[in-house]
Amino acid sequence: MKKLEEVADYLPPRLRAFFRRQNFFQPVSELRLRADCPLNVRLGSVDLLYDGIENEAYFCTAEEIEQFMRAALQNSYYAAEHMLKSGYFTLKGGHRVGIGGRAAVEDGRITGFSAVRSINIRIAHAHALADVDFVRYLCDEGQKLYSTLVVGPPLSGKTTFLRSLAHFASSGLHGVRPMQLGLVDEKSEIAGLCGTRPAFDIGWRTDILDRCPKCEGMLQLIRNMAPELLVTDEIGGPKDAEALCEAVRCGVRVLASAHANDLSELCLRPLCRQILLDGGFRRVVELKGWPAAGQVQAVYELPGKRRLQ
Amino acid sequence: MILLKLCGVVLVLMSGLCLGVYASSRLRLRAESLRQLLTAVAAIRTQTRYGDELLGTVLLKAAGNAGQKTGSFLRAIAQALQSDRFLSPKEAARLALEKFSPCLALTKADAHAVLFLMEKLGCMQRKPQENYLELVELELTRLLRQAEEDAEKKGRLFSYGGACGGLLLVILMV
Repeated sequence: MKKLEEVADYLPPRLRAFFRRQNFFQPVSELRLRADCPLNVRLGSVDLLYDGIENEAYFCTAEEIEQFMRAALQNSYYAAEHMLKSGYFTLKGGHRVGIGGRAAVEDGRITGFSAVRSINIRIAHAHALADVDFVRYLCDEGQKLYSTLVVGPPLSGKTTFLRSLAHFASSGLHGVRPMQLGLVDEKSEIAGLCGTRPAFDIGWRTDILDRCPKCEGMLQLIRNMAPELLVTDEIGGPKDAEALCEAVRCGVRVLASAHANDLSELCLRPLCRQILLDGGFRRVVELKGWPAAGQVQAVYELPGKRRLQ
Repeated sequence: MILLKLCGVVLVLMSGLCLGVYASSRLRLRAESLRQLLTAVAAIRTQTRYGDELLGTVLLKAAGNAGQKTGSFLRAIAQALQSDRFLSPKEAARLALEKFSPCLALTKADAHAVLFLMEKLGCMQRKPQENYLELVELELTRLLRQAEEDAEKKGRLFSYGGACGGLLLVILMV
């Protein structure tokens, strides 16, 4: 609930008061505000709509969305410009805020948003893994973490899972041998760096490149920080494969995540298939988003796609 | 009796002169405040163009570049923004203007320009904000030119007018 409180501080007073009146039976994972629409809250796999039918009515106004934006960005849109161009920004504590509305386009590229209509706040959670038995399948005989790709649909807890594994590897927990970690946190979600201090415990052996493009960041870390394990989120872009190959050629292991329901669906995407082939991944972890985020569905061995768990 | 009358004459003359000088100094003060505001806007423009600092910090830094009174005005806005995250820069500026307007000698038109500056400050991305600040600078420059002309022309007029007004009153009374 501490994480929810961090977000509640940025909510407009009326919404904050409403939120504090609610008794949520599960940790809130997502909060959606849309102008002139009911408040939408997600608790794990449960989706609550405050439309006055099943739940108390709460309709967000455009003004409240503007207030939230102003408070969250501290009247400094220009400082978050590089993130706003990609349709998101990150709150203190690593909570990602996705935005929708009227896009400002220049030369066919989104340069920002002139009117924000909807907001999706994803509440970051610290190590939520209930079961860590699967970890032994992800380690080699020297107890070092294999190059692992975490696959799952949206809200399946990929980032939380990555954060936990990074913590295990960096701190040497649950039978994993401690490794020097290089973390490329493009969206400032995994570590949630605030100034120089991460919002989450990601271990003592972790070097972070915050808000840095993945490919550039990975190459820079390899060159300058000599990591044994590179951690990054949401790979799948054309340059990612190149950077992953470079990491593999340098003998660096990679821990990354990708969007897909399962491994077979991931293989249907040519770029991801290429990454699987060239990225040197030895394990794939499939996550399911229910009953709670971060639940392991299966662990596969690569090459061969043999199911280990 | 004559001595008393003489004292009265001197007092009336002095008051007239003081009033005139005060009015003329307000005109000079207005020009000075606008000049400092222009310096502050230039500093804000540079810092929001190249830096990633939050608006509160940017205003505090700009306050350091501006003079004492304008600096205090900008500092008050920055502190209001930092203490209440739901406050818009325009609201913060309005509150600060209520407090600082008399000592900055700003006219309604000047206050309007300041509120125009704060209306969109921080709520835009770099490029549009830079264009916006340029527009504000143009408006402030126009007001400054006007204030300088007023200080030049009307300033002397007010000083002489005050003294002459006092003299006229003395003559009428005598």
